Amino acid sequence: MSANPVFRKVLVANRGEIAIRVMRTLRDLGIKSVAVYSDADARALHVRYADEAYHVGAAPSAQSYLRADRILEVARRSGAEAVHPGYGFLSENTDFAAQCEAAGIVFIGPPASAILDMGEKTRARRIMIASGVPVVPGTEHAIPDPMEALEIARKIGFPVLIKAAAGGGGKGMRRVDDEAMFLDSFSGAQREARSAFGDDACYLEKWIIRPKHVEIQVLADKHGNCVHLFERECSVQRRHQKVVEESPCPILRHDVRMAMGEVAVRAAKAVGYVGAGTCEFLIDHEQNFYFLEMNTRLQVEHPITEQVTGVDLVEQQVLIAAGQPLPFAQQDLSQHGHAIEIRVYAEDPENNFLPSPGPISHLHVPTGPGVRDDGGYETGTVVSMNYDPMISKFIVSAPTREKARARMLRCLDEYQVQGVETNLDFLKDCLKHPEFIDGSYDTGVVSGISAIRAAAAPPAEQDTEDALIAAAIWRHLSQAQMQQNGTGAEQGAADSPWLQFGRRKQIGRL
Amino acid sequence: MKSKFVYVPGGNAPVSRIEVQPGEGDRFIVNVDGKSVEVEAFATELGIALRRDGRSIDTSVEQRQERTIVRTPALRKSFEIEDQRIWEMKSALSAGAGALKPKLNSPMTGKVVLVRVQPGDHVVAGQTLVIIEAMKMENEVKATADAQIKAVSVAAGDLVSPGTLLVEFVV
Repeated sequence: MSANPVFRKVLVANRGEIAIRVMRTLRDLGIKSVAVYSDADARALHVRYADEAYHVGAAPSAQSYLRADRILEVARRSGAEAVHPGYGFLSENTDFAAQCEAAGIVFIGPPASAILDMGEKTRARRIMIASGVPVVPGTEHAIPDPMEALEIARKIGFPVLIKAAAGGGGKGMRRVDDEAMFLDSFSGAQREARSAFGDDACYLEKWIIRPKHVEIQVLADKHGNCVHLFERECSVQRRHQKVVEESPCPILRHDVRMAMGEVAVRAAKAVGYVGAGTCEFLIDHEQNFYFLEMNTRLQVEHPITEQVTGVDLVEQQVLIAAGQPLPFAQQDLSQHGHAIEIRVYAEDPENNFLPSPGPISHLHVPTGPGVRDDGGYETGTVVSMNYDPMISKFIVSAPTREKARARMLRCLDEYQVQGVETNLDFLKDCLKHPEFIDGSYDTGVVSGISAIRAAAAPPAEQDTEDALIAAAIWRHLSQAQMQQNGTGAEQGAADSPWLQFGRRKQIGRL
Repeated sequence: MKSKFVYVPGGNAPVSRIEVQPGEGDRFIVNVDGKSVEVEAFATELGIALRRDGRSIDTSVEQRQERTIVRTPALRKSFEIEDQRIWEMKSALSAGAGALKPKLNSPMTGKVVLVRVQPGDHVVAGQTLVIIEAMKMENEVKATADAQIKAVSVAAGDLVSPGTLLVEFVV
């Protein structure tokens, strides 16, 4: 492969961990990588990792990483034959994809038409229904007649949700569990909607009981081949933001898994998809599944699929973009063992999860068996307030789910970040949640975590005393070191631990 | 050389006095409120590696402003630890705070939610003068001595930061 690379040079139009992750595969393939960077990232890790790096603008993304014109100019100037957009930024921007195409630069992603079809939610829903892909059942338009509504509710199946067309923020919504209650509830909802919004239009949607968020990875080449790479379970979410992901889904029946895979392939084919994409589904307590949307890019959580299937998704993206056919068929793919990913964020769980930007004075990432760190920072680098504060995605693999969970807990004890607050303790709470342990958790699992935390026993007196003793000795050694520096005694051995300690203290004061 | 610290637990809890006495090699005797504990400890890249009664406790320690943050395998805790001399100086100062300072400044960044006094009011030590909301918590700024209000420089809704003048007293 490296003797005759598919591309010689690829521009990575992104930053942080995903830029580095893409460049790593490019390097594996013998392809030169080109980085772009903003003012805030001139010293960032992705800039150092790349073979070439070009400045594209000021710190705010709108003036740098979202500047399609400047990024294309860099592609031309550097002679890059293709652009990998990563995720976020320009990854789902149809104009950018089209501009690349027009400039004769390969966009490593789906055709602009597929991004467009999947990007607009009602349009995607219509295309999916036409292709026989199950969506959350409901009516697209308001139903004025209660009897007609009841007829539809019977078809959808109870419980159903009655929603005021003009409603929002939970107002004008009623859950109805059985037929007997339906007519009263529907008329009530109409009255309520009329008085609250001046419009009594109501429509129906199926109420999904204890929904799980499960998604299917697909890969499609330019020759009409399309396969799925099984599922990722992403129900641990905080405000619709995924926090912990795992593969396989711990409770998914194999027949449901394969049916979802088939449906995802059908969805991809319906829009002429090319490259790596993800179909997101809700599954209910009976494992009925409903298509939500398709993400037309590489996902943050793609590594757990890579760990379980052994397929490098970025490599496949590059090869597909270069026109190569998929090197495997569906029957060649299978899941091995279990992988869990956590997203380590510089944010403060004690303070409403507000971002905690700043210099990382020390970063210690776990190593040892079964771990993978897709990070974007090292000791001394700065988490900028201009971008997503994700420090790293950290992934463990093991033969079984319980071993993977134990391994992740081990790693969460090893993981150390100084200088900024992180969500590491919160992640630990997630992994120790009883519903996570038995795999039954749904998208509401995180809301119960603070309560569990509050109910936890206070730490043992001895543990607190250990911490206090460590703090006091640390302060003592810091003072001793400062006094030593003050008297010019540092002309001692260059490698004395005292000096190392002093240097570390200085970094800490960045 | 021995180091002496004061641990301020906050709230109404009494402070603890801590002495660290270095011994041979990595040995230390740490005395917390009269109780002596013998440990072995050394500085690591991240913090302090501690051995106590055969237990090995590898910790991460960092200083952030006033707080010393410690992570052990068992817990994460943030301590306010002060050098004993500095602490004694500070407490002497605040004890003398009964002696009136003519101006009262905001101790924090936040929003004034309520001003409880107006010029001319006589207030007593401990009386709430201004309430400032920071991080969704209300903080009462109190008089440190009996005094008469000369001027009030803020109103409800004002944003303040450390050092913003709140109230002036008649001296």
